[in-house]
Amino acid sequence: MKHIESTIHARGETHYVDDLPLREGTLFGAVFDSPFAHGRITRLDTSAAEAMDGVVAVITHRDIPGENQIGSIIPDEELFAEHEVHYVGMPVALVVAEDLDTARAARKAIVLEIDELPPVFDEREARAKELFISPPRTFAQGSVDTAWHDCDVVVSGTAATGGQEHVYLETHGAYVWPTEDGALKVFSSTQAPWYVQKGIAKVLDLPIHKIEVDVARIGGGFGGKEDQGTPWATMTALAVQCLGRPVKLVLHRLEDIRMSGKRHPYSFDYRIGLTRDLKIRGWDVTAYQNAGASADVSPAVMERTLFHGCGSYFIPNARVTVYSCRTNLPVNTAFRGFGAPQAMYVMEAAITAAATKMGVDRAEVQRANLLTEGDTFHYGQTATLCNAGACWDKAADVHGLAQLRAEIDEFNRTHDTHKKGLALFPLCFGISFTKTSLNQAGSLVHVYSDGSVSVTTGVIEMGQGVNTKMAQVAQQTLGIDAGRIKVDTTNTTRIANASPTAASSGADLNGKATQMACEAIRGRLLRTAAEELGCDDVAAVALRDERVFLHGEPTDLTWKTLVMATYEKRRSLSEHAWYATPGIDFDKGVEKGSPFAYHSYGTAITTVTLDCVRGTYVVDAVRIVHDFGSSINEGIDRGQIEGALMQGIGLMSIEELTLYPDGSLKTSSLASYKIPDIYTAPGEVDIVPLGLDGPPRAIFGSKAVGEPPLCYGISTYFAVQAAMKAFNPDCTIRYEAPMTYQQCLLALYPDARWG
Amino acid sequence: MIRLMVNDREVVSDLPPGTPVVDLLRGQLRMHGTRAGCREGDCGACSVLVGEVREGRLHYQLMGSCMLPLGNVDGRHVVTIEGLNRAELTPVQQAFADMRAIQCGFCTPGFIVALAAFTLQATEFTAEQATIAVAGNLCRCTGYKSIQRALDVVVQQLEGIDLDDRVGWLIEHRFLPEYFRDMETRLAALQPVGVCTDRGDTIISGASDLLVQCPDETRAADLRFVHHLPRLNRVEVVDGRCHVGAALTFNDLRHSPVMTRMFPDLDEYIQLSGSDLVRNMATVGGNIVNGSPIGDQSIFFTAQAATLVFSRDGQTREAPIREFFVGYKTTAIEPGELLEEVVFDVPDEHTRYSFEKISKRTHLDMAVVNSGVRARIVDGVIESASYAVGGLGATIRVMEATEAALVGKRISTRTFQEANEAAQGEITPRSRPEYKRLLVRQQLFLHLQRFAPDALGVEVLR
Repeated sequence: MKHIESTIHARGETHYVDDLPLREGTLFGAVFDSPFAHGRITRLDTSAAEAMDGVVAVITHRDIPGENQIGSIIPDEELFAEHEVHYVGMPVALVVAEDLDTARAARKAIVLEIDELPPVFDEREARAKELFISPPRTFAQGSVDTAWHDCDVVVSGTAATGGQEHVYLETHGAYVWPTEDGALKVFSSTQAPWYVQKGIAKVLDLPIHKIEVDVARIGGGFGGKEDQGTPWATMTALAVQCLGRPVKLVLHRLEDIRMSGKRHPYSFDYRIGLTRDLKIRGWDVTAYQNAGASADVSPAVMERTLFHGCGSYFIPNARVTVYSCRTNLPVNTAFRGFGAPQAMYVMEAAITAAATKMGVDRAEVQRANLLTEGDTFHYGQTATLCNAGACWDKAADVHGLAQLRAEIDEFNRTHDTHKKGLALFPLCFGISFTKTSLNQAGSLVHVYSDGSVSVTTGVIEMGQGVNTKMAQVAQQTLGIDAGRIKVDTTNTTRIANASPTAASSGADLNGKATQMACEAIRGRLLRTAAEELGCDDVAAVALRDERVFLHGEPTDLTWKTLVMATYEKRRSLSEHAWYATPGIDFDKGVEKGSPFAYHSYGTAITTVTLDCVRGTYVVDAVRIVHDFGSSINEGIDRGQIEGALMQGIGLMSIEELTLYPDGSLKTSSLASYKIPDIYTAPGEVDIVPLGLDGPPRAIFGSKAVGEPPLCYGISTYFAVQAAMKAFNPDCTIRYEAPMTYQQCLLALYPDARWG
Repeated sequence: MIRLMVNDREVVSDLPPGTPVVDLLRGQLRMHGTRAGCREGDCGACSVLVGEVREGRLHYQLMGSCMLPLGNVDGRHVVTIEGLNRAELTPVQQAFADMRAIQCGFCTPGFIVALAAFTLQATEFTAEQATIAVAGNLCRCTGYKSIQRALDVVVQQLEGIDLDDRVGWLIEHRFLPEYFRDMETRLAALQPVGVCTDRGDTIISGASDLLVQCPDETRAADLRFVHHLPRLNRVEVVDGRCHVGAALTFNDLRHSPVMTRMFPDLDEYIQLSGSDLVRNMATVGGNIVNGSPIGDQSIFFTAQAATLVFSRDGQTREAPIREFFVGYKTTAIEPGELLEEVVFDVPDEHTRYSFEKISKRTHLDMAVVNSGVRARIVDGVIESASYAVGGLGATIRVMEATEAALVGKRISTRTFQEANEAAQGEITPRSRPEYKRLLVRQQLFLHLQRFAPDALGVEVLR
């Protein structure tokens, strides 16, 4: 099935928040944010702005009837700065005016004065000063401290990964209007309507049922709208509560980049030990996560770093420690991969360093340590249906690894200004929210009297095609044409307490719930069918192709007739079903358990060509074997892999966030922060399915595909490094992603001197 | 007041002429398919077509409506995604749906509009040309591979296009809606209101920088629109001197037969500046008077040792571009002056031009360091050289010491080394000095190697 929304998208008829028809009397908001990185507020004067023509109000913390608090995991984040500012871009006030230009212009009249406090931007400095979001955590197995004695080679070093701006093409936004009796209708560009609802309830001092959040879809999320849709919707709702008129707030791209959080930068100290047979015997890594000014989901991101701290490898003696460090930067947040790419990167860096020291190909070390069936992860779960080796071997085979290497060697032998490099990357990604309680979802299915079907779940469509998958689940379970099914907006009055659309789990959780709802309705329909056909055995009737089958033979009873007949018998044509992933648990006391429903596997082979004079490079090809399971929609899943891969390549190559000394972003716009363009796309992306069945806890055996393939981008870094070494074996080797063209050129010519 | 066609209807707007077109579309006209993704011409989500009758034919160009002032579309045809829709999906839209080149959908209309420009403008229907057409459109979801597959389908479907009746063919083959058929007539009959072209405090040419840097001030300012003045839109050779009008866009230069005859690599070089939706707007004059230390066309004309011709109150004044850039975004232009044209010596058969640019992303990005060298090389000996480098400080730097080190020399390892020494001696990069010094060396190597491929090997860099 094609993406069910592609027609309206292609025609430009989709309504994102900023496209909703305006209601009479709508006001427009603009956020006034801190120009200072850290300080105690001594004066906040909004009177001049309020006096301006067209300005209706300037909303600050003083207008909050409830708590000035939006932190979801840890209550450490104010909606509007009250006593202190903690980063450049921290919201301080919302100007509300009759038109947007006036609101934006009036911000200039607001006076904010502070007593400066010393800012901290670097995670290692924060670690030294013990500025933590939450206490450090360690996952371990075996005996790391004694393991080194058994190793023939021990290498230690440092590594780092940079942040990443989401650049969802639709910026953050919310449109809120008052309904009756103090209730609010909220349209928000969010991955988490329930979080928006909770945020508004707490700040506005309302019961949750007074807040209806509705999301048709969002223009990209990538994690950036998991927790961070909340502040904008909440301040808009607050303005509506104060003023009694509809208010719209849509961030300008510059505001969005300045104020919203990004992927966490990480620094690492690592130590790796191997025996001569290339087996990793010891692995000790300490990670410093740069969380920014408040917790947001950083503790959960930290957790996923801990879970993925051994990559795709079995390491008998392993210890992974993460410090979540508080800095004076915008609040870093979820971003596709959620702490896992960072963990996998340092693992790959350490393997590369060790392989270099041992004089062997890094791929040999990688292959020798891949997880196998029955291995224990360092957090206690047993690897089952483990496809790490199968993916690797199939990739080497179907993509002709030996031939690729030979071609690269030949190219490098015959070219002097350009060199090619190759690197492999094995993927193992745990699927489920690591916070077990989030692994639940609801679905509400109505069959209407004309046979048309409406499906509502808690999942948010953000381009990943999850609505299409929901329609497929309903279609296949009910045995009807896709044209009968409408996937409705995600709405908190239809589905309550829905987990965010995150952790690659949206299709599994909501798909399972939809399947259950449809099965329940189907059961009632089949009972009717059996009665209509005068058959005692309900098991003998089936629904498919819009028709009732009896003992496998088609009958005259069609879907539409059956629906009406069921109605006449006063049987419910609606069902609300709830699914909770069975058999998962995690004990934080001992940091052990089986938190994941299953793991996704794959292997990528990346080849690049490096221009050794300019220090630039292109990704020639990424050849993948991916463990889809039994994909419910391979076209959509391939699109997810290609898109995630490109973001991963961006993370490892050209996407770089830099700061001015005052803590404001240098890379503050799309002119200075560069995401991949069409020329940056790899020349070839060849995705071959592994071809093995998926696990039962995946919807129809179709494995989650949202986040895992982003990690394939990691091999870009090491492929470029391989090409650099081919040009200059004495080039500078650092493990600091991204490999910008600057880092690349300077590393190629470490000895360049200027007269 | 501005009068224009928007899709199939005439629109009169009393918004200030410095208002970006996207605000008219999304505001007054409630056409939300045009999306304000970044408001600085970097994402392409707000792309529109701008049409006019040129030399008796309908001519359309892709532009970013976030940096396109209303004053520049007076009397013209603006086409949005809504104006491309037919009852059924067009072949371009269908290709995007079929190839799964649509995920979140936010960027999609921009791509569809960019490809409409391709169908209306291209002379070569290849995947490469289609890629150039959409190179200014960012997509964060798909990773572009499915978009490339859609481009292949579009190119296939354009096989057999009738270039003599292009619009007719496109309508017949469902690429365009019916109303385009009489657009030429309707547009010819449309009376522009007429924007001010001869006075005003702020001169607007392409506006692609002004509307990005200071949209509020620009909208409020007393504006003088010079973009369409015929005398500013000429490329002419007179007595061995080439005259380039200041309002010529980057793409005008790229497509000018006069220019490409003189500089065969120009197309390749200009493709490193922005994307079509910027290159159709940004002008030669704007690039120069902006005074940016990394202006790509400023580098080009500085390397040509061009003369700038200014006008004010009917008087003209000439000044060498090599002395024009005096500080960060500060130039030797005098108050009230308009840059009319840029004039330089036509290169003879011994004269070559080489351009290099390194940026964080190869395309659609500003330079970290860019440089251009124009050299006259006779029998292997450099007789004269003009060398400009951008990105090293407040202004574009004219590399006089390096030029002196090159003149009279045959290109060799030693010449390169001496020239590099001279270059390193005359630059003081302020930010990232190590990287920029290295880039200057590498680019100098590439320039000389382009002039004499066999004389220099990569070993000299080690």
